[in-house]
Amino acid sequence: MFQPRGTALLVLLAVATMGQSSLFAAESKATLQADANKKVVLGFYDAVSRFDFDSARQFIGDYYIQHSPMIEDGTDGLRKALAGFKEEFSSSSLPTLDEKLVVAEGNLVAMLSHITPKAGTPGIAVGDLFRLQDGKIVEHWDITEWLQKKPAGAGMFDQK
Amino acid sequence: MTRLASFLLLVSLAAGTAAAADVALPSPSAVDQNKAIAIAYWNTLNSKGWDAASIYLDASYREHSGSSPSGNEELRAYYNTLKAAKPRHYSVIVRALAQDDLVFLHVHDFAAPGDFGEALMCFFRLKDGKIVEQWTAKQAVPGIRNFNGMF
Repeated sequence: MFQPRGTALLVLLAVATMGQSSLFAAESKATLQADANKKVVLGFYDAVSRFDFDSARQFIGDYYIQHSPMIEDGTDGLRKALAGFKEEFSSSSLPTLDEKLVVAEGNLVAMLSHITPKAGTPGIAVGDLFRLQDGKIVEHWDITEWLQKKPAGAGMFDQK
Repeated sequence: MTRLASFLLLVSLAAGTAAAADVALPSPSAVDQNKAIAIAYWNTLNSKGWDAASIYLDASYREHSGSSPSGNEELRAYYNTLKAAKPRHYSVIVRALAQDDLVFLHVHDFAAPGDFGEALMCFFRLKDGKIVEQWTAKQAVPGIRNFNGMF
């Protein structure tokens, strides 16, 4: 009597456990991927903030789709843009770049940063969104908003 | 299978289940719920206005953007004035991400149909199912140097 019922129970338990562990595995894999993507984006951002195209290039995949309205498409567009920034800022100090918020899910990473091209000025709020494929950045969207000296309310980066 | 073997297997399975449950992961349902709340807030604000949308906000809500005032009463007046000034305004959520206590919305906002619109990136922080903070950066959609569009 015990054996068939026991076996059925075991099979049930085994199936339930397998289902649960694969669910956990899938979830932790997604979390790991999102966190790995976040690291890639932060590495890329660090290189870009130094206008270092050669370092930035290592984080980019076989292609790079550009949605930023002021930058030309592709890896070459980024190279030109960074060369332009380098020239523009060579006479002054490097702008400071401060990542404030990062949200990663699936193959996308979104980030809100505060760029201060010149010390003592309100600077720029920059929203960036990156799509990654196999650990490399392949697509970029952004928004740049020049901040006002006196914001209407709490201000963009006046965090508690 | 002997009784002993099935007992041992049962014990090991139970142990495996317990170990899996001990793994500290953020609850996927809480993250998904946060995303749904931020989307519901945004769509309600833009279709029905501040009063209907404010059920999604915590009492301590703070909004960080270039144009939003501080304080919930001030925000209410601000959004009511905006809604009255732009009756044909509409807003499209293009994509949404969520992780931990944060939600990101990529939004195309139109003052009126046919407008180029503004591109928005909105970040929300939630606590206990309510929005406690929002940061939004915006930029008018301009003529651009590539053919991919801003979205």
